[in-house]
Amino acid sequence: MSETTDVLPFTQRLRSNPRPALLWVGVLLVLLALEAGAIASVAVTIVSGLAGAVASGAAAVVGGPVVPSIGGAIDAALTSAGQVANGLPTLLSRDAIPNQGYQTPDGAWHGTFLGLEPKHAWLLRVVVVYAYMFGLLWWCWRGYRLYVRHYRFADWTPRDDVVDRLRTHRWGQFGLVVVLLFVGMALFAPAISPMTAEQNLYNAAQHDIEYYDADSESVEKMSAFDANLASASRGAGSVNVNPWQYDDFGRFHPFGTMTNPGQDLFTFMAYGARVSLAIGLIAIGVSIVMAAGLSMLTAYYKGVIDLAVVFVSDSIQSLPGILLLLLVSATFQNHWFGQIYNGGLLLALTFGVVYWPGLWRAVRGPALQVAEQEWVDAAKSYGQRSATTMRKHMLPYTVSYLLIYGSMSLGGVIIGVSGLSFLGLGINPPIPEWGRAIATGQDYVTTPAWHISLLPGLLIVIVVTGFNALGDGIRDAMDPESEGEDADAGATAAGGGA
Amino acid sequence: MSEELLTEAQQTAAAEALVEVNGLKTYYDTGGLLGSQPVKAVDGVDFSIGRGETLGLVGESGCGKTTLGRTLVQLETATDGEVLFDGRDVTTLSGDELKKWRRDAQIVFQDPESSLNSRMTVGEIIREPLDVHGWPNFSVAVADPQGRSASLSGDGTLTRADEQADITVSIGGGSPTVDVRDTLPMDDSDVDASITERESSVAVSVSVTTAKSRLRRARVRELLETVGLREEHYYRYPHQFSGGQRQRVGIARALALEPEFVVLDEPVSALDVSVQAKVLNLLDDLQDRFGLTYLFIAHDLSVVRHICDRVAVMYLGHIMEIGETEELFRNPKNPYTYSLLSAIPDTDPSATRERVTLRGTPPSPRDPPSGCPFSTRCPVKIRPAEFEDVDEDIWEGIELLREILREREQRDRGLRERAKQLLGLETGFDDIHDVVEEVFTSEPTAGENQPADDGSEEMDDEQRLAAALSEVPPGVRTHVETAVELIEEDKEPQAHRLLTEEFESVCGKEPPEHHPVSETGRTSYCHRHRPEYDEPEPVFEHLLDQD
Ligand code: SF4
Repeated sequence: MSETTDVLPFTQRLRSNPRPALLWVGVLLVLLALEAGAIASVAVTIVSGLAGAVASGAAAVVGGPVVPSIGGAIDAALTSAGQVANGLPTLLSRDAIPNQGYQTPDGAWHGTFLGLEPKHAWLLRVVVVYAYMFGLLWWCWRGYRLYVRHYRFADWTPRDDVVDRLRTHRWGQFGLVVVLLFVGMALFAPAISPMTAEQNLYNAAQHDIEYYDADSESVEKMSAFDANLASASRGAGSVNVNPWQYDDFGRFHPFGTMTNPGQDLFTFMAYGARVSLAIGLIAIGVSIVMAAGLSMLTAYYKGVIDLAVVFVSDSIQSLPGILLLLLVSATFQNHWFGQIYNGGLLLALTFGVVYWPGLWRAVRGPALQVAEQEWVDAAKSYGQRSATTMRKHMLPYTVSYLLIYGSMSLGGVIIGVSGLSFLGLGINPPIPEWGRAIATGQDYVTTPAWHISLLPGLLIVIVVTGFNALGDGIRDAMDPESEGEDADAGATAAGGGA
Repeated sequence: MSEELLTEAQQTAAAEALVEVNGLKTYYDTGGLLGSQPVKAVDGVDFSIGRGETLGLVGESGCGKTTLGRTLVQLETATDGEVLFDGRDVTTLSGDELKKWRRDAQIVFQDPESSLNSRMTVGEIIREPLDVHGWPNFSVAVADPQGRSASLSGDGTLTRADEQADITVSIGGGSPTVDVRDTLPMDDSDVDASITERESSVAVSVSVTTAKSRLRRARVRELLETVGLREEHYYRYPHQFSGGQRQRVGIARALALEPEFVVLDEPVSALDVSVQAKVLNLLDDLQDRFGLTYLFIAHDLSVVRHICDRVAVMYLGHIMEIGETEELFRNPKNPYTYSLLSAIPDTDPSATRERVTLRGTPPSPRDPPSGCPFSTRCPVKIRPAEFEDVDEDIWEGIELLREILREREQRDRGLRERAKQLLGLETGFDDIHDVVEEVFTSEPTAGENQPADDGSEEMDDEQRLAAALSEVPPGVRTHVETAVELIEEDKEPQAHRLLTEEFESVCGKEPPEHHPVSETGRTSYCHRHRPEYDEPEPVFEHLLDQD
C-alpha cells in the first residue's frame, strides 16, 4: 500500500504506468482487427434489425405511405453499410477457409482450402473459430488480472474470493466451457456450419453447387435443392448420410443430413442454436429484470405490495404455461408484433412472463434478509433515497441469486422452446429450431437415420446440463460463509428448485 | 424537599435541552390478519436531553429502548407524541426538511457486522452520507466592519456572521481576507473571494477551487483518523477489519455530516471486552471534541455508569426512573431500578444490597398490564388495605396464581388455541389442583412430596385443595376456592377477573405518576412515592430481611 495522502484517480494511475495497459490494448486491437468485417456486419445487422422493427411498428401504428419511403432510405443506407462491412477482412469466415469443392478422379480436391479434403478444411475452420474465441476471452481475463495487479487501488475486494473459488470449481468450469461452446456455436454459426444457411436452409433452389460427375467425367452444376433432396436421410431401405460422411456430391456432413428436403443437420443445429440462445436470453433477461425490480420493491416496502406480487405471481404460476403460450400465439397471429423474429420475440416475452414468478420467489427471501440489514437502516438514517438504497445496498446481494437461477432457468427455456417446436408450435419453418429436428427425426429413430433425432436431443441435454453446472458453480463461488452474510444461507437450500 | 427548587432545576434543564420528548408512543402494527393488538414498544415517555449531555437508556431486551432510540432519529414513525429537536417537532417533518434535519441526528448501530455494507470499501461507506447531502454546502459569513447588507454569489449559502460558518470573508481595506473553518479539509488559499462594494450593500462572490469529490475524499480520510483508523484503510473492505475497527467505521459514518445528536444503540455490546473500553473512550473524546449529545442505549449497567451523565431506566415501553447516574446507582428509588441494580454484583462495595429475584418474565408489550407496567412482577407491589396482614408467602402465592392465569390468557390469544376453543376442544388446565397446591405450599415441598406420592394419590381433589389452602386466611380462601371452581367449569377468564377484582391494588389499576424523588430532578414512576404508601426501599429491606 502506498503512502500517498491523496489517492490518484484511475486515469492518473494509468498515466503513471502505461506500459502494461498499452501492451494489452494493442494485442486486443490486433485480435479484434482480425474480425473487423464480422464485427462491422454484426453492428449493421443489429441496427438494421432495430430499424426494421421500428419501421414495421411505425407502419402498423401510422399505416401511411410515408413510413415505407423513410424506411426505404434507411434500408438503402444500411445495405451499403453492410456491403462495406462485408468487404472488410475477416479471419473466421468461410471465404478464408473454404470447405466446399469437388474431387477429381485423381483424388485432388478443387475449391477447398489448400486443396484439403472438405472434412479437414471444415475441422480447421471450427478449430480456428474456437481458438479465436477462447483466446479473446482469455485475453480479457488477462486484462482483468492486469488491472488488479497494476491499477486497482484496493488490494483485496470481496470479488477476489468469488473468483478464486470459481477457479477451483471444476464442475462450474465444465459448465462454463459447455456454455461457451454453445454460445460460440450460436455466435459463429455462419463460420462453423459446413454450408451456408441460404444454400442449405432457406433458398436452396437459388443456389448451385459444383460436383464431379463420374459418368460424364466432368464437373457438373446442379441446384443445391436437388442435391439436398438426393442426399436426404430417409431411414431404412434408402439413401442415408450418417454423421461424419460425405454425400454423393462431395459435401461433408459432420452430423449427417436430415430427412426431406435433406438439409445438413450441423448447419441446422448451428443456426438453431442462435434461435435458442436468443429466445433464452431475452426470456431470462425479461424475467430477471422483473424479478429483480419486484424483489427490491417487495423487500423494501413489504406489506401490501408484497401481498399483491405474491398474488399475481401465484396466479401466473397456476396457469399452465403451454396454454398461455397457445393463447398468446393465437392472439398475436396476424399482428405485426407476432411476426418479429418469426414469432421468436413474442415467444421469448411470453416465456419471460411465465418465468419471472419463479425467479422472484427464489430471490424474495434473500432480498427480505438484506432489507433487514442495519446498513439499509443506516442509509435511511442519513437520508439516502429509497431507489438508491435498493440499487446500492440491496440489489448487489440478490444479483448472485438472479444469475444462479437465471442460468438454471435458461436451460428450461431452451427445453421449453424445443418442446413447443416439437409440438409444431412456436418458431415456424424454415427457421431452424432444435425441437423441430427432433420432431422430424422421431420416426427414424430405429432406422439407419437415427441421428436426426438423437444428436439434437443429446445436444439439448448437454447444453442444459452445462447451464445448470454453471449455475452451481456461481452458487458455490458466492459461498455464504466467507461472504459473512446470513442472507446467502438460503440460496444453497433453494438452489435446486429453479 | 423543596418543590420550588425542583421545578426550577427542571426548567433550566429544559431550557438547555437539545432533545425533548413528550408523550412519545411507538406502536407496531404487525399486520396480523386477525386484527391483533399492536406491539406497544414505546408507550408514552417524556424526557429531555441537555446539549452536550449523555443520557443512558437501560432496560432488559425487549423493553423498547432500541425502538425509542430509532424513533428519535426518525427510523421509526412515532404513533403519538412529539420529539422536539431544538424546539422543533421532528416527528412531523417530511421530504426535504426531514432530509436536511437528518444531518443533525445520527445513529451508531449495535452490530458492526450488519451495519456496514460489505460490498463497499470503507471509504465509500463513510463517504455516502456526504454524497447524499451534496457535502460540502459551504456556509459563508461576511464580516463587514461597516455592517452593510451582504449578498452572495458563487459557492455556498450566506449565514449570519455570528454563526460558526465554513467560510468567513472579512472585508476591510482592499481585498477581502478569507478564513476557512479549521475542521474543513482545505486551506484558505483554496477559496477565491471578490467583492463589489456599494454605498449600503456589498456583493461577495466566492468560488472554491478544489473539486467537491476531492474535498469529500479528504474529509473521509480525516474522519478515518478522527476515529483512530488510518488513511490507507480507505480502500479496504469491512471484512478486512476487526469488530472494533468496524464499529469505528460506523462511528465515522455517523459523524460525517457533523451531527449534533447521536444515538448510540448498544455500540459496544457486540465487541470483545478488551475493545469495549477503547471504543468507549473514543466516544468520550469525540463528545468533548465536537460537543456531541448522546443517547447511549445499553444493556450493560456498568458501562452506563462509566459513560453517562444521566440514566433512564426503561421497562415495557415506560421510563421507570430517570435521573443523575451516580445518584441513581447509589440509591435507586424505583422498585424496578432497585431490582435491576441488585442483579449486578458489588457495584458499590459499601452497600450491602441483596439480590432481588424477579418472578416470571416481562408481559408481552402487545398486552401490557393496566396500571403500573411492573405490577405483574413487582416484589414490593402495594397490597389492598384489607390484605395488609396476610402472610408474605401466601400473598406471593396469590400473585403467582394470578400471573399464571394472566400468562395463560395471553397464550390463549394464539390462533390454535382460539380455534380449539371454538371447536370446543379441551384447552383448560391439566390439573388446577396441582397448581394451587404448588403455589400455596410455602416451602419448596416438591421434593418432600415425591416420597409421599402414594399417600397423596389417595386424597381426592377436594382434600388436596383443602390441605393446600389450610393456612390461608378465610377472607382470601373463599375467593381462591371460587376461582378454582370457575376454572373447573372452564371459565378461566372469569376466574382471572374475580381474582383481579378481589386482590388488585392501586398498582394494577391506575398508572402511576412520575414522582420527583430527589433535588436533582430525578423522577420515579411508582405509586409508592405517594404519601399514603411506604417508600419502596424500606419495604425491600423488610422483604430481604425476611428471607
Ligand atoms: S407502582 Fe406498584 S407495582 Fe409499580 S413499581 Fe410501584 S410498587 Fe411496584
